[in-house]
Amino acid sequence: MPIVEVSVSKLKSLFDIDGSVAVTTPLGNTLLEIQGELEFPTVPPVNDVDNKFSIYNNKNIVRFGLLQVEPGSKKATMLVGEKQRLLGSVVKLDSPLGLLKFDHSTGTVDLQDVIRYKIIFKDRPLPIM
Amino acid sequence: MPTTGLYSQLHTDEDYKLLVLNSELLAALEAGSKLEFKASSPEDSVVLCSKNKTWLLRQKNHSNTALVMREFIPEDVSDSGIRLPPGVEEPSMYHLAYTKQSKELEARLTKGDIDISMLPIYTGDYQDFKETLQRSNAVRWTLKALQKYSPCSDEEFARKWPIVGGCVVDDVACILSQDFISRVLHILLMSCMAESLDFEALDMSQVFAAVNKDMGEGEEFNPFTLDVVRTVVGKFSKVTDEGKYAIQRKAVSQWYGVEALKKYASRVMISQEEFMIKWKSSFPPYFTCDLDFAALRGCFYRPLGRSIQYFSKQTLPDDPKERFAYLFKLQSSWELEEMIPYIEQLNTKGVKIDNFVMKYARRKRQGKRTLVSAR
Repeated sequence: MPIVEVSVSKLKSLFDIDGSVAVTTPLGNTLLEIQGELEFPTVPPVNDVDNKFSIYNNKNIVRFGLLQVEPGSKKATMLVGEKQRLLGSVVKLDSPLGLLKFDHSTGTVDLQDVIRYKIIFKDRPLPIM
Repeated sequence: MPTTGLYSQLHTDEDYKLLVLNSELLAALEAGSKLEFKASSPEDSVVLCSKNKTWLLRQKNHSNTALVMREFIPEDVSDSGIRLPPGVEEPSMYHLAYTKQSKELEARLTKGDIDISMLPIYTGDYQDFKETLQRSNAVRWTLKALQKYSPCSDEEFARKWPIVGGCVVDDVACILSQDFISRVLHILLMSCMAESLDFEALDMSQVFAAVNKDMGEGEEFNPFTLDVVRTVVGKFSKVTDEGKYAIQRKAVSQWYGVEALKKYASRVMISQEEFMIKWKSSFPPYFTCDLDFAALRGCFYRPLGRSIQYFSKQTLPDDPKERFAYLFKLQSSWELEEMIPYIEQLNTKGVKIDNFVMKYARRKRQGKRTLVSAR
């Protein structure tokens, strides 16, 4: 009979909504959704000509694009690589999403953030002109 | 327009999940209520419990890529050498995707449940209870442990526990047998009346004292412990704002009715008029309550149309087609109201019951009554 308590200790202030549109939560998280799959290699390639791969906090990371969100509007643009451009928008979620972290070593669950907006890219990519 | 550089970990963290916070969950969190994931066993469905509500969790998969990102500063940003398309500014901030989500957890409000199937039954015979526990390898739960692991919020548990006849004997959570509950209820009602206690505002200690008044202090074992009295009072009453217990005469009347059905109409059928007399005479003297025959629906059928016979729905098959066939074998035509208790649990999609019945049977209106018969 497993039982796990959800810790919400870090989040008390997040329930006070100030009404402003903020893509990034006060705790610094952003949700980005793309229709389709973004595929990365599991290990950095030997020949990384564009310096896309690097290391952060001992983890392999890859630079996959650039994001522009027009201030004051809900339009977003994402440039993937050098050839693809995606047009998207900032949308308010019907119901906020709680970001839960499951710690298997201690058997605890931590509600780490409450996400109210997401940047969504629904359309097919366009070429960069 | 400011530009953000997007990065992702090659191995995203799989320890994260997204939970849709519906208005009730959000309200529970805002109220500072603690939330717990619970499951009766590793194979069972997971529920989420607040102080007073229980939600069933469902995993909704989608085919989109949802990245949760946080701001960071790349270690080698200076020499990353990003080639920017024309008109795009140098990134002024950077986001790193650390988890990729292809599913969301959705919570649907449900009723908390206590699994009493593995609990021992206490018949009031303490010696026998102890010996049975010793003989069997049954798991012995304390009430606290049972509450902790039941897929049920704490407040729902406290409300449901006496209703299912839950009690504690020797620190072991158990269920009182039907016969024992009947015995305790009968004595309890008589004792309260003898002591002129107010049925609308009973005090637990006074009820306990009243029940035990004539038990004496002899060496003979007294089964009417405070826990037993608390369970039976809790089962048949509601807690008032002042913390007193108000006896629910309707619940008492129904209990005596079902017991009377079992006693007088189990093997042979009995006319409804005769049954009502038997039912009325089964209460303790001077105890008054209304006899609502409709409250016994789901415990009897009418083999020959008018007379009634006890029947427990526990014996019915689970398959809807088989269950309808079984019911029509017992009785060729049912009044819809009397049939509902036997079939409502099959209506899992919550269809209007009239329409649900039409899927498996024929429905006919006769004045104000609705009759259901086989196709």
